[in-house]
Amino acid sequence: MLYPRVQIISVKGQVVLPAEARTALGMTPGKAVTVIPDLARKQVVIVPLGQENPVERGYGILAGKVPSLTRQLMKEKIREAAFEKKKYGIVRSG
Amino acid sequence: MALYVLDSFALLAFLQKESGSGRVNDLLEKARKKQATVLFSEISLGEVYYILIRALGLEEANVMLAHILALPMTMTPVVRDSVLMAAQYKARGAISYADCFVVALAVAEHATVVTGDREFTAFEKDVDILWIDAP
Repeated sequence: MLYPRVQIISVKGQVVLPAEARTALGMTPGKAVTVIPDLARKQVVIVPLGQENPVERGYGILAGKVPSLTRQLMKEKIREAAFEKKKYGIVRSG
Repeated sequence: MALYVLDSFALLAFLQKESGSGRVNDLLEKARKKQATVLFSEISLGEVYYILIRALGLEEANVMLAHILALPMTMTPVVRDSVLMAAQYKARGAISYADCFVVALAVAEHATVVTGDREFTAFEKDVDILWIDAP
């Protein structure tokens, strides 16, 4: 059974992740974790990143999960260009 | 060693396995094996980050950011020279401000821009461009 634990931060800022939690989540030495500071909730979340090849892990990680991000980027650029034109009278020639 | 500068478009295409992203994947694999160097401007990082925040919310975007930072890319900070060079490109009026930093970085490092964004067509005389969606 996994329970919350209280751990003490060392002078170097290190905290030991309990062995049972590491085992349950496959957090073996050398694997990467994400450390996410969440100031709103006054907590730090540690998320194991899984596979060790970051390229393999990242390729298509958002495929099909959200509408096309490249399309959103291009829409943003169109909005930015329109804003520049309106505010400064600058027209992008490209 | 071959030197490349990825833009936001190329990285977002990679994350979603969109058309042409296989080329980005190949380059990043080469970078992981130390056969190429891939640079990424911190201005582009900010651009990708806000697109991710809008699409996913802050919490999930932060997780994606960690995945991005783990990729074998050299994050390139903004320095005065790159700001001024980017400003010169921006003055031409044919490109977004963030992309000016991509061009400036590629010119300064003699690197090839990797993108699928046609806005860069205006800079084909300034830098080599690898179009990810080219046949």
